[in-house]
Amino acid sequence: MIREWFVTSWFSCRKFAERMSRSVDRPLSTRDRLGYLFHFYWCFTCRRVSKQIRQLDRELGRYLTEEDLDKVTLPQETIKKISEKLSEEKR
Amino acid sequence: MNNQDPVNWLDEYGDYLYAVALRQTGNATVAEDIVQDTLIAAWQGFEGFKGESSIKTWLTAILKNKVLDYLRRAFHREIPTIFEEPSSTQDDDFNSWGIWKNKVAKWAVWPETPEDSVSRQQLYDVLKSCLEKLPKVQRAVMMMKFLEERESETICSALNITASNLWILVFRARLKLRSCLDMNWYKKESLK
Repeated sequence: MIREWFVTSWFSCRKFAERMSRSVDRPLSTRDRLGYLFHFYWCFTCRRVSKQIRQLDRELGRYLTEEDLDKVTLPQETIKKISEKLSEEKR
Repeated sequence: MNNQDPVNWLDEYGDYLYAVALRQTGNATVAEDIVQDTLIAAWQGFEGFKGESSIKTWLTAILKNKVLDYLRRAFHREIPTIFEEPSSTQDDDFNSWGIWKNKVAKWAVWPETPEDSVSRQQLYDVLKSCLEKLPKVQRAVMMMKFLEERESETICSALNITASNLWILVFRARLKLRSCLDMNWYKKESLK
């Protein structure tokens, strides 16, 4: 029982990844932080994944909010439809 | 330009608003509807516009709220699937001990400089297709997280889910996006 708790809480990469995902958005509790740090220092793969997920978040944020957007244009039919709607609203 | 005419807003900012909505919803028809709703809402609420920001910024803020409304609705339509998701021990990335099943390769440096604009566009194309592959609920939660710029509690109350549910959804979405990006961008880049 204790062994299982120790393995899942301190040695599990899955648990680490879960804590890491949470830590990107909010501070962890002391207990979670200890488990996180313990795992972070001994697991090379998780250190790498942790870095990648932070990179991913940065890229995603940039992708969703940056000003230099794809060159897309509203279809002519849609422009016509919206213009008509707006003209109706103006009346 | 007559700044008080919504048809002029459509001419001037229609394509921009459409591009924002398309990127954030991933659906052309939905994006078109959101642009229309944004312009109508802006026209109806124009008296409240104090001119403290530009028309473009003001329209973008209205559009963002429309996108968030759409994401909330999309989430609630799909909500039963939350409970059909595999339990935490069945994730594809980990074995039964919770250890990574596969080796995780290092990611190359990604495009940063203006000269890298072609690579950046390619990266965005991959990111876009990875987002499209996410289950709808996870996608909606991730988009809300990035667009809301607010505390997670706000998202939880808007979606009527617990904080644990939100973290699990975000966690799974991040892992899926990481694997997808790894497979479709970084591994291909390293082969070049």
